[in-house]
Amino acid sequence: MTSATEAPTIDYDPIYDPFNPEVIANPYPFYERLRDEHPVHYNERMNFYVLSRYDDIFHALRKPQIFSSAQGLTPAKDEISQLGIPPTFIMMDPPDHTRLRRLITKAFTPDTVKDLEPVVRAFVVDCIERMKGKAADGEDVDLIEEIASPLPTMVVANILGVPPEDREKFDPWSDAITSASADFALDVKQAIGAVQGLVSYFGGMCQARRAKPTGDMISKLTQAEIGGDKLTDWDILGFCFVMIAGGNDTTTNLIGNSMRFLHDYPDQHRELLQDPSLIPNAIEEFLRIESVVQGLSRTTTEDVEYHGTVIPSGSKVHNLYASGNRDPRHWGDNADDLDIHREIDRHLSFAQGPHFCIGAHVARLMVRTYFEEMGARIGEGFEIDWDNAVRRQSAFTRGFTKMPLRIEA
Amino acid sequence: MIRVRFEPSGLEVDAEPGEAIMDITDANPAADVPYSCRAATCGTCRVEVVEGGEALSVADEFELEVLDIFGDTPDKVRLCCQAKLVGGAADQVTLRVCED
Repeated sequence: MTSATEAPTIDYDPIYDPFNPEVIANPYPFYERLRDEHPVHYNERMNFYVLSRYDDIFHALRKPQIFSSAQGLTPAKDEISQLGIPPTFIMMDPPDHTRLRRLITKAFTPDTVKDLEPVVRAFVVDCIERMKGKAADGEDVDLIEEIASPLPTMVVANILGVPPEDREKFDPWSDAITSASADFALDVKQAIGAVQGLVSYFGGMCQARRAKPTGDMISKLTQAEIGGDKLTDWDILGFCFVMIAGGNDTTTNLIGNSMRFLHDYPDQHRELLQDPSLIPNAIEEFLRIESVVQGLSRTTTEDVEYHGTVIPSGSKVHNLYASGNRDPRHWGDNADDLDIHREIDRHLSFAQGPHFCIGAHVARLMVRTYFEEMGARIGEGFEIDWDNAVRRQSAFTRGFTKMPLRIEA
Repeated sequence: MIRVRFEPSGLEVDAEPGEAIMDITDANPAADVPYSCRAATCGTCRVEVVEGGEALSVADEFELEVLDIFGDTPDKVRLCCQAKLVGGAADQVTLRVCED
Protein backbone atom coordinates (compact mmCIF):
# COMPACT_ATOMS: atom_id res chain seq x y z
CA MET A 1 0.00 0.00 0.00
CA THR A 2 1.26 3.46 -0.87
CA SER A 3 1.33 5.98 1.96
CA ALA A 4 0.16 9.56 1.51
CA THR A 5 3.74 10.82 1.41
CA GLU A 6 5.06 8.36 -1.18
CA ALA A 7 4.94 9.15 -4.87
CA PRO A 8 2.92 6.56 -6.79
CA THR A 9 5.10 4.06 -8.59
CA ILE A 10 4.84 4.24 -12.36
CA ASP A 11 5.63 1.12 -14.29
CA TYR A 12 7.61 2.78 -17.06
CA ASP A 13 8.22 0.95 -20.30
CA PRO A 14 11.84 -0.18 -19.87
CA ILE A 15 12.78 0.20 -23.53
CA TYR A 16 11.46 3.71 -24.08
CA ASP A 17 9.07 5.78 -22.03
CA PRO A 18 9.24 9.54 -22.56
CA PHE A 19 8.15 10.18 -18.98
CA ASN A 20 10.81 7.98 -17.41
CA PRO A 21 13.04 10.40 -15.44
CA GLU A 22 16.10 8.49 -16.66
CA VAL A 23 15.07 9.16 -20.26
CA ILE A 24 14.45 12.81 -19.49
CA ALA A 25 17.88 13.10 -17.87
CA ASN A 26 19.73 11.48 -20.77
CA PRO A 27 17.68 9.96 -23.59
CA TYR A 28 20.57 9.03 -25.90
CA PRO A 29 21.44 5.59 -24.48
CA PHE A 30 17.76 4.70 -24.77
CA TYR A 31 17.70 5.93 -28.36
CA GLU A 32 20.76 3.87 -29.23
CA ARG A 33 19.14 0.73 -27.85
CA LEU A 34 15.93 1.48 -29.72
CA ARG A 35 17.78 1.90 -33.01
CA ASP A 36 19.89 -1.22 -32.55
CA GLU A 37 17.44 -3.63 -30.95
CA HIS A 38 13.90 -2.25 -31.25
CA PRO A 39 13.62 -0.12 -34.39
CA VAL A 40 9.84 -0.43 -34.18
CA HIS A 41 8.97 -0.37 -30.50
CA TYR A 42 5.49 -0.59 -29.01
CA ASN A 43 5.05 1.22 -25.70
CA GLU A 44 2.26 -0.76 -24.10
CA ARG A 45 1.79 1.53 -21.12
CA MET A 46 0.94 4.50 -23.31
CA ASN A 47 -0.21 2.61 -26.40
CA PHE A 48 2.01 4.05 -29.08
CA TYR A 49 4.76 2.92 -31.44
CA VAL A 50 8.22 4.46 -31.69
CA LEU A 51 10.41 4.90 -34.77
CA SER A 52 14.03 5.72 -34.02
CA ARG A 53 16.13 5.15 -37.17
CA TYR A 54 16.81 8.03 -39.53
CA ASP A 55 15.55 6.38 -42.70
CA ASP A 56 12.33 5.18 -41.11
CA ILE A 57 11.50 8.59 -39.66
CA PHE A 58 12.52 10.43 -42.84
CA HIS A 59 10.16 8.37 -44.95
CA ALA A 60 7.31 8.37 -42.41
CA LEU A 61 7.36 12.16 -42.23
CA ARG A 62 7.26 12.39 -46.00
CA LYS A 63 4.19 10.17 -46.27
CA PRO A 64 1.35 12.17 -44.73
CA GLN A 65 -1.11 9.98 -46.60
CA ILE A 66 -0.14 7.15 -44.23
CA PHE A 67 1.18 9.09 -41.25
CA SER A 68 -1.51 11.65 -40.49
CA SER A 69 -1.13 14.74 -38.29
CA ALA A 70 -4.87 15.20 -37.86
CA GLN A 71 -5.05 13.38 -34.54
CA GLY A 72 -2.38 15.48 -32.86
CA LEU A 73 1.36 15.37 -32.48
CA THR A 74 1.99 13.71 -29.14
CA PRO A 75 1.54 10.03 -28.25
CA ALA A 76 -1.70 10.90 -26.40
CA LYS A 77 -4.67 9.70 -28.43
CA ASP A 78 -7.16 12.39 -27.45
CA GLU A 79 -4.76 15.31 -27.27
CA ILE A 80 -6.75 17.75 -29.40
CA SER A 81 -10.13 17.26 -27.75
CA GLN A 82 -8.63 17.59 -24.27
CA LEU A 83 -6.76 20.78 -25.03
CA GLY A 84 -9.68 22.42 -26.83
CA ILE A 85 -7.30 24.17 -29.17
CA PRO A 86 -8.24 25.79 -32.47
CA PRO A 87 -7.72 23.71 -35.66
CA THR A 88 -4.05 24.49 -36.13
CA PHE A 89 -2.61 23.81 -39.54
CA ILE A 90 0.14 21.66 -38.01
CA MET A 91 -2.60 19.22 -37.01
CA MET A 92 -4.04 18.95 -40.52
CA ASP A 93 -3.20 16.88 -43.56
CA PRO A 94 -3.03 17.90 -47.22
CA PRO A 95 -4.99 19.40 -48.91
CA ASP A 96 -6.47 21.40 -45.97
CA HIS A 97 -3.02 21.83 -44.52
CA THR A 98 -1.62 22.99 -47.85
CA ARG A 99 -4.28 25.66 -48.23
CA LEU A 100 -3.51 27.25 -44.88
CA ARG A 101 0.21 26.80 -45.07
CA ARG A 102 0.47 28.60 -48.39
CA LEU A 103 -1.22 31.62 -46.91
CA ILE A 104 0.87 31.67 -43.80
CA THR A 105 4.06 31.16 -45.78
CA LYS A 106 3.64 34.72 -47.00
CA ALA A 107 4.76 35.86 -43.55
CA PHE A 108 8.05 34.02 -43.99
CA THR A 109 9.27 35.02 -47.45
CA PRO A 110 12.98 35.77 -47.88
CA ASP A 111 12.14 39.46 -48.03
CA THR A 112 10.19 39.26 -44.78
CA VAL A 113 13.02 37.44 -43.09
CA LYS A 114 15.49 39.97 -44.50
CA ASP A 115 13.37 42.80 -43.14
CA LEU A 116 13.45 41.17 -39.72
CA GLU A 117 17.23 41.07 -39.57
CA PRO A 118 17.88 44.65 -38.42
CA VAL A 119 15.14 44.32 -35.81
CA VAL A 120 16.64 41.06 -34.55
CA ARG A 121 20.17 42.46 -34.55
CA ALA A 122 19.22 45.60 -32.66
CA PHE A 123 17.41 43.50 -30.06
CA VAL A 124 20.30 41.05 -29.68
CA VAL A 125 22.83 43.88 -29.34
CA ASP A 126 20.65 45.55 -26.74
CA CYS A 127 20.34 42.30 -24.75
CA ILE A 128 24.09 41.64 -24.86
CA GLU A 129 24.98 45.17 -23.84
CA ARG A 130 22.49 45.00 -20.99
CA MET A 131 24.01 41.71 -19.85
CA LYS A 132 27.45 43.26 -19.91
CA GLY A 133 26.23 46.22 -17.93
CA LYS A 134 24.65 44.01 -15.30
CA ALA A 135 27.76 41.89 -15.06
CA ALA A 136 29.90 45.00 -14.66
CA ASP A 137 27.61 46.08 -11.82
CA GLY A 138 28.10 42.73 -10.12
CA GLU A 139 24.56 41.51 -10.81
CA ASP A 140 23.76 37.90 -11.61
CA VAL A 141 23.19 37.29 -15.31
CA ASP A 142 21.19 34.40 -16.72
CA LEU A 143 21.69 33.85 -20.45
CA ILE A 144 18.27 32.25 -20.86
CA GLU A 145 16.44 35.03 -19.08
CA GLU A 146 18.41 37.87 -20.63
CA ILE A 147 18.48 36.86 -24.28
CA ALA A 148 17.63 33.27 -25.24
CA SER A 149 14.04 33.53 -24.04
CA PRO A 150 13.10 37.14 -24.85
CA LEU A 151 14.59 37.04 -28.38
CA PRO A 152 12.08 34.63 -29.94
CA THR A 153 9.27 36.17 -27.91
CA MET A 154 10.05 39.54 -29.45
CA VAL A 155 10.23 38.06 -32.95
CA VAL A 156 6.96 36.15 -32.66
CA ALA A 157 5.26 39.24 -31.27
CA ASN A 158 6.74 41.33 -34.08
CA ILE A 159 5.46 38.96 -36.76
CA LEU A 160 2.01 38.82 -35.21
CA GLY A 161 1.84 42.56 -34.64
CA VAL A 162 1.42 42.43 -30.87
CA PRO A 163 2.17 45.81 -29.28
CA PRO A 164 5.09 45.97 -26.82
CA GLU A 165 2.89 46.55 -23.79
CA ASP A 166 1.19 43.17 -24.30
CA ARG A 167 4.31 41.14 -24.89
CA GLU A 168 4.79 39.97 -21.33
CA LYS A 169 1.74 37.75 -21.86
CA PHE A 170 3.58 35.54 -24.31
CA ASP A 171 6.00 33.71 -22.04
CA PRO A 172 3.44 32.31 -19.58
CA TRP A 173 1.25 31.12 -22.47
CA SER A 174 4.17 29.56 -24.27
CA ASP A 175 5.46 27.87 -21.12
CA ALA A 176 2.04 26.45 -20.25
CA ILE A 177 1.33 25.17 -23.75
CA THR A 178 4.80 23.71 -24.22
CA SER A 179 4.64 22.06 -20.81
CA ALA A 180 1.29 20.56 -21.70
CA SER A 181 2.78 18.97 -24.77
CA ALA A 182 5.75 17.79 -22.77
CA ASP A 183 4.00 16.43 -19.70
CA PHE A 184 0.53 16.13 -21.05
CA ALA A 185 -1.31 14.36 -18.27
CA LEU A 186 -0.02 16.66 -15.56
CA ASP A 187 -0.46 20.13 -16.94
CA VAL A 188 -3.58 19.97 -19.05
CA LYS A 189 -5.50 22.38 -16.80
CA GLN A 190 -2.72 24.92 -16.94
CA ALA A 191 -2.62 24.61 -20.73
CA ILE A 192 -6.35 25.12 -21.06
CA GLY A 193 -6.00 28.38 -19.17
CA ALA A 194 -3.25 29.48 -21.52
CA VAL A 195 -5.25 28.48 -24.58
CA GLN A 196 -8.25 30.42 -23.31
CA GLY A 197 -6.07 33.46 -22.71
CA LEU A 198 -4.67 33.18 -26.20
CA VAL A 199 -8.09 32.70 -27.81
CA SER A 200 -9.51 35.69 -25.98
CA TYR A 201 -6.60 37.99 -26.79
CA PHE A 202 -6.17 37.12 -30.45
CA GLY A 203 -9.91 36.82 -31.01
CA GLY A 204 -10.15 40.47 -30.06
CA MET A 205 -7.20 41.32 -32.27
CA CYS A 206 -8.80 39.56 -35.26
CA GLN A 207 -11.96 41.60 -34.87
CA ALA A 208 -9.98 44.80 -34.57
CA ARG A 209 -7.83 44.02 -37.63
CA ARG A 210 -10.83 43.06 -39.74
CA ALA A 211 -12.35 46.45 -38.95
CA LYS A 212 -9.08 48.34 -39.38
CA PRO A 213 -6.14 46.49 -40.99
CA THR A 214 -2.68 47.68 -39.98
CA GLY A 215 -0.41 45.68 -42.27
CA ASP A 216 0.73 43.20 -39.63
CA MET A 217 0.47 39.43 -40.04
CA ILE A 218 -2.96 39.13 -38.49
CA SER A 219 -4.24 41.91 -40.72
CA LYS A 220 -2.90 40.07 -43.75
CA LEU A 221 -4.51 36.84 -42.65
CA THR A 222 -7.87 38.51 -42.06
CA GLN A 223 -7.75 39.95 -45.59
CA ALA A 224 -6.36 36.87 -47.35
CA GLU A 225 -8.48 34.72 -49.63
CA ILE A 226 -7.90 31.28 -51.09
CA GLY A 227 -10.23 30.27 -53.86
CA GLY A 228 -12.62 32.99 -52.74
CA ASP A 229 -12.68 31.79 -49.13
CA LYS A 230 -11.51 34.02 -46.30
CA LEU A 231 -9.82 32.62 -43.23
CA THR A 232 -12.04 32.46 -40.20
CA ASP A 233 -11.00 33.90 -36.85
CA TRP A 234 -10.66 30.31 -35.68
CA ASP A 235 -8.16 29.59 -38.52
CA ILE A 236 -6.15 32.65 -37.51
CA LEU A 237 -6.26 31.71 -33.84
CA GLY A 238 -4.84 28.34 -34.78
CA PHE A 239 -1.97 30.10 -36.51
CA CYS A 240 -1.32 32.28 -33.44
CA PHE A 241 -1.29 29.16 -31.30
CA VAL A 242 1.33 27.52 -33.51
CA MET A 243 3.48 30.63 -33.58
CA ILE A 244 3.53 31.03 -29.82
CA ALA A 245 3.79 27.37 -28.90
CA GLY A 246 6.25 26.48 -31.64
CA GLY A 247 8.23 29.65 -32.01
CA ASN A 248 9.28 30.56 -28.51
CA ASP A 249 10.86 27.79 -26.52
CA THR A 250 12.29 26.04 -29.54
CA THR A 251 14.70 28.87 -30.30
CA THR A 252 15.43 29.39 -26.61
CA ASN A 253 16.37 25.74 -26.30
CA LEU A 254 18.45 25.81 -29.45
CA ILE A 255 20.57 28.66 -28.11
CA GLY A 256 20.96 26.96 -24.73
CA ASN A 257 21.89 23.60 -26.22
CA SER A 258 24.36 25.22 -28.61
CA MET A 259 26.13 26.90 -25.71
CA ARG A 260 26.43 23.56 -23.94
CA PHE A 261 28.03 21.91 -26.95
CA LEU A 262 30.42 24.78 -27.50
CA HIS A 263 31.48 24.37 -23.89
CA ASP A 264 32.12 20.67 -24.52
CA TYR A 265 34.00 21.39 -27.75
CA PRO A 266 36.07 24.52 -26.99
CA ASP A 267 38.25 24.17 -30.08
CA GLN A 268 35.21 24.40 -32.30
CA HIS A 269 33.95 27.36 -30.30
CA ARG A 270 37.24 29.12 -30.92
CA GLU A 271 36.98 28.32 -34.61
CA LEU A 272 33.52 29.87 -34.78
CA LEU A 273 34.76 33.01 -33.07
CA GLN A 274 37.66 33.29 -35.49
CA ASP A 275 35.58 32.61 -38.58
CA PRO A 276 31.92 33.69 -38.29
CA SER A 277 31.29 32.38 -41.82
CA LEU A 278 31.16 28.93 -40.20
CA ILE A 279 28.13 29.91 -38.09
CA PRO A 280 25.35 28.86 -40.53
CA ASN A 281 26.66 25.30 -40.88
CA ALA A 282 27.36 25.15 -37.15
CA ILE A 283 23.70 25.99 -36.51
CA GLU A 284 22.61 23.04 -38.66
CA GLU A 285 24.97 20.84 -36.63
CA PHE A 286 23.56 22.19 -33.35
CA LEU A 287 20.09 21.41 -34.66
CA ARG A 288 21.18 17.91 -35.63
CA ILE A 289 23.06 16.87 -32.55
CA GLU A 290 20.38 17.86 -30.07
CA SER A 291 16.89 18.27 -31.48
CA VAL A 292 15.08 20.76 -29.30
CA VAL A 293 11.90 18.88 -30.14
CA GLN A 294 12.93 15.31 -29.49
CA GLY A 295 10.14 13.90 -31.59
CA LEU A 296 6.54 14.29 -32.72
CA SER A 297 3.80 11.78 -33.37
CA ARG A 298 1.61 10.87 -36.29
CA THR A 299 -1.35 8.49 -36.59
CA THR A 300 -1.36 5.71 -39.18
CA THR A 301 -4.19 5.70 -41.70
CA GLU A 302 -3.49 2.11 -42.79
CA ASP A 303 -1.45 -0.88 -41.66
CA VAL A 304 2.22 -0.24 -42.30
CA GLU A 305 5.18 -2.58 -41.87
CA TYR A 306 8.68 -1.69 -40.71
CA HIS A 307 11.38 -4.26 -40.09
CA GLY A 308 8.86 -7.11 -39.98
CA THR A 309 6.54 -5.40 -37.49
CA VAL A 310 3.10 -4.34 -38.62
CA ILE A 311 1.89 -1.08 -37.13
CA PRO A 312 -1.91 -1.26 -37.30
CA SER A 313 -4.03 1.46 -38.85
CA GLY A 314 -5.08 4.06 -36.28
CA SER A 315 -1.90 3.74 -34.20
CA LYS A 316 -0.01 6.64 -32.75
CA VAL A 317 3.59 6.56 -34.00
CA HIS A 318 6.18 8.68 -32.25
CA ASN A 319 9.01 9.75 -34.54
CA LEU A 320 12.14 10.34 -32.51
CA TYR A 321 13.88 13.07 -34.51
CA ALA A 322 16.63 13.26 -31.90
CA SER A 323 17.41 9.59 -32.35
CA GLY A 324 17.37 9.73 -36.14
CA ASN A 325 19.66 12.73 -35.99
CA ARG A 326 22.26 10.59 -34.22
CA ASP A 327 21.74 7.41 -36.19
CA PRO A 328 25.22 6.22 -37.27
CA ARG A 329 23.58 4.38 -40.18
CA HIS A 330 23.01 7.81 -41.74
CA TRP A 331 25.56 10.09 -40.08
CA GLY A 332 28.50 7.76 -39.61
CA ASP A 333 30.38 6.60 -36.56
CA ASN A 334 30.85 10.11 -35.18
CA ALA A 335 27.10 10.80 -35.06
CA ASP A 336 27.30 11.56 -31.33
CA ASP A 337 30.08 14.12 -31.81
CA LEU A 338 29.75 17.79 -32.62
CA ASP A 339 31.37 18.65 -35.93
CA ILE A 340 30.63 22.15 -37.18
CA HIS A 341 32.17 21.21 -40.52
CA ARG A 342 29.90 18.20 -41.03
CA GLU A 343 28.18 18.03 -44.40
CA ILE A 344 24.53 17.97 -43.43
CA ASP A 345 22.05 17.00 -46.08
CA ARG A 346 18.74 16.77 -44.26
CA HIS A 347 18.50 16.62 -40.50
CA LEU A 348 15.14 15.93 -38.91
CA SER A 349 14.96 18.75 -36.38
CA PHE A 350 12.61 20.87 -38.49
CA ALA A 351 10.74 17.69 -39.51
CA GLN A 352 10.39 16.65 -43.14
CA GLY A 353 7.51 16.63 -45.56
CA PRO A 354 4.58 19.05 -45.68
CA HIS A 355 4.98 19.93 -42.00
CA PHE A 356 8.56 21.14 -42.33
CA CYS A 357 8.95 23.93 -39.76
CA ILE A 358 7.53 27.06 -41.36
CA GLY A 359 9.65 29.31 -39.15
CA ALA A 360 12.94 27.51 -39.81
CA HIS A 361 14.49 30.45 -41.65
CA VAL A 362 13.48 32.86 -38.91
CA ALA A 363 14.94 30.56 -36.26
CA ARG A 364 18.19 30.36 -38.22
CA LEU A 365 18.25 34.16 -38.50
CA MET A 366 17.83 34.59 -34.75
CA VAL A 367 20.50 32.08 -33.78
CA ARG A 368 22.96 33.28 -36.42
CA THR A 369 22.57 36.87 -35.26
CA TYR A 370 22.96 35.76 -31.65
CA PHE A 371 26.29 34.02 -32.36
CA GLU A 372 27.57 36.83 -34.57
CA GLU A 373 26.93 39.48 -31.94
CA MET A 374 28.00 37.36 -28.97
CA GLY A 375 31.24 36.64 -30.81
CA ALA A 376 31.84 40.27 -31.72
CA ARG A 377 30.91 41.75 -28.34
CA ILE A 378 31.94 39.14 -25.78
CA GLY A 379 34.07 36.65 -27.71
CA GLU A 380 35.72 34.22 -25.33
CA GLY A 381 35.30 36.57 -22.40
CA PHE A 382 32.58 34.65 -20.61
CA GLU A 383 32.03 31.54 -18.59
CA ILE A 384 28.83 29.67 -17.90
CA ASP A 385 28.30 28.40 -14.37
CA TRP A 386 27.38 24.88 -15.40
CA ASP A 387 27.00 23.73 -11.80
CA ASN A 388 24.01 26.00 -11.50
CA ALA A 389 22.61 25.67 -15.02
CA VAL A 390 19.21 23.98 -15.02
CA ARG A 391 18.01 21.58 -17.69
CA ARG A 392 14.39 21.71 -18.77
CA GLN A 393 12.59 18.72 -17.28
CA SER A 394 10.53 17.71 -20.25
CA ALA A 395 9.58 14.45 -21.87
CA PHE A 396 9.63 15.81 -25.42
CA THR A 397 11.94 18.81 -25.56
CA ARG A 398 15.60 19.39 -24.65
CA GLY A 399 16.96 22.65 -23.42
CA PHE A 400 17.86 24.77 -20.43
CA THR A 401 15.71 26.97 -18.24
CA LYS A 402 18.61 28.64 -16.45
CA MET A 403 22.16 29.33 -17.56
CA PRO A 404 24.10 31.63 -15.19
CA LEU A 405 26.76 33.60 -17.05
CA ARG A 406 29.91 35.32 -15.86
CA ILE A 407 31.23 37.98 -18.21
CA GLU A 408 34.81 39.19 -17.94
CA ALA A 409 35.19 42.91 -17.46
CA MET B 1 17.38 32.48 -73.68
CA ILE B 2 14.18 31.06 -72.27
CA ARG B 3 11.14 33.12 -71.41
CA VAL B 4 9.57 32.02 -68.14
CA ARG B 5 6.02 33.13 -67.37
CA PHE B 6 4.52 32.81 -63.90
CA GLU B 7 0.79 32.64 -63.33
CA PRO B 8 -1.43 33.97 -61.90
CA SER B 9 0.93 36.93 -61.39
CA GLY B 10 1.54 37.23 -65.15
CA LEU B 11 5.21 38.09 -64.64
CA GLU B 12 7.51 37.12 -67.51
CA VAL B 13 11.27 36.84 -67.13
CA ASP B 14 13.98 36.00 -69.68
CA ALA B 15 16.51 33.58 -68.25
CA GLU B 16 19.43 31.43 -69.35
CA PRO B 17 19.66 27.61 -69.39
CA GLY B 18 21.20 26.45 -66.10
CA GLU B 19 19.36 29.02 -64.01
CA ALA B 20 17.28 27.67 -61.12
CA ILE B 21 13.64 28.68 -61.04
CA MET B 22 14.06 29.56 -57.37
CA ASP B 23 16.87 31.99 -58.21
CA ILE B 24 14.65 33.58 -60.83
CA THR B 25 11.75 34.01 -58.42
CA ASP B 26 14.02 35.24 -55.63
CA ALA B 27 15.31 37.91 -57.98
CA ASN B 28 11.76 38.69 -59.10
CA PRO B 29 9.43 38.56 -56.06
CA ALA B 30 6.55 39.73 -58.27
CA ALA B 31 6.46 36.14 -59.61
CA ASP B 32 4.63 35.50 -56.31
CA VAL B 33 5.61 31.86 -55.86
CA PRO B 34 5.29 30.75 -52.21
CA TYR B 35 8.25 28.91 -50.69
CA SER B 36 8.93 27.44 -47.32
CA CYS B 37 11.57 24.73 -46.87
CA ARG B 38 13.32 25.49 -50.19
CA ALA B 39 14.68 21.94 -50.06
CA ALA B 40 12.20 19.53 -51.68
CA THR B 41 10.35 18.55 -48.58
CA CYS B 42 7.25 20.64 -47.84
CA GLY B 43 5.71 21.05 -51.32
CA THR B 44 4.72 24.67 -50.74
CA CYS B 45 6.26 25.82 -54.04
CA ARG B 46 4.38 23.39 -56.30
CA VAL B 47 3.56 24.81 -59.73
CA GLU B 48 1.56 23.40 -62.57
CA VAL B 49 3.56 23.14 -65.80
CA VAL B 50 1.29 24.83 -68.31
CA GLU B 51 3.81 24.67 -71.16
CA GLY B 52 7.48 24.04 -71.78
CA GLY B 53 8.08 21.26 -69.27
CA GLU B 54 10.82 19.88 -71.51
CA ALA B 55 12.88 22.98 -70.69
CA LEU B 56 13.01 21.96 -67.02
CA SER B 57 15.58 19.65 -65.43
CA VAL B 58 14.56 16.09 -64.57
CA ALA B 59 12.98 15.68 -61.11
CA ASP B 60 15.11 13.71 -58.62
CA GLU B 61 13.85 11.13 -56.12
CA PHE B 62 13.24 13.70 -53.38
CA GLU B 63 11.12 15.89 -55.63
CA LEU B 64 9.21 12.87 -56.96
CA GLU B 65 8.45 11.78 -53.41
CA VAL B 66 7.03 15.20 -52.53
CA LEU B 67 4.98 15.35 -55.73
CA ASP B 68 3.56 11.94 -54.91
CA ILE B 69 2.22 13.24 -51.58
CA PHE B 70 -0.08 15.50 -53.53
CA GLY B 71 -0.88 12.94 -56.23
CA ASP B 72 1.16 14.89 -58.76
CA THR B 73 3.47 13.70 -61.53
CA PRO B 74 6.47 15.66 -62.83
CA ASP B 75 5.06 16.03 -66.33
CA LYS B 76 2.30 18.19 -64.86
CA VAL B 77 3.62 19.65 -61.60
CA ARG B 78 7.08 20.66 -60.39
CA LEU B 79 8.68 22.11 -57.29
CA CYS B 80 10.07 25.56 -57.98
CA CYS B 81 12.76 24.99 -55.37
CA GLN B 82 14.18 22.12 -57.44
CA ALA B 83 13.60 22.79 -61.13
CA LYS B 84 16.26 24.37 -63.31
CA LEU B 85 16.14 25.53 -66.90
CA VAL B 86 17.83 23.33 -69.48
CA GLY B 87 18.83 24.39 -72.95
CA GLY B 88 18.03 22.97 -76.36
CA ALA B 89 14.35 22.41 -75.73
CA ALA B 90 11.46 24.83 -75.41
CA ASP B 91 12.11 28.58 -75.38
CA GLN B 92 8.97 29.33 -73.38
CA VAL B 93 7.97 27.93 -70.01
CA THR B 94 4.73 28.77 -68.21
CA LEU B 95 4.29 27.81 -64.56
CA ARG B 96 1.10 28.33 -62.59
CA VAL B 97 1.12 28.28 -58.76
CA CYS B 98 -0.97 25.35 -57.55
CA GLU B 99 -4.04 26.29 -55.55
CA ASP B 100 -3.94 23.38 -53.15
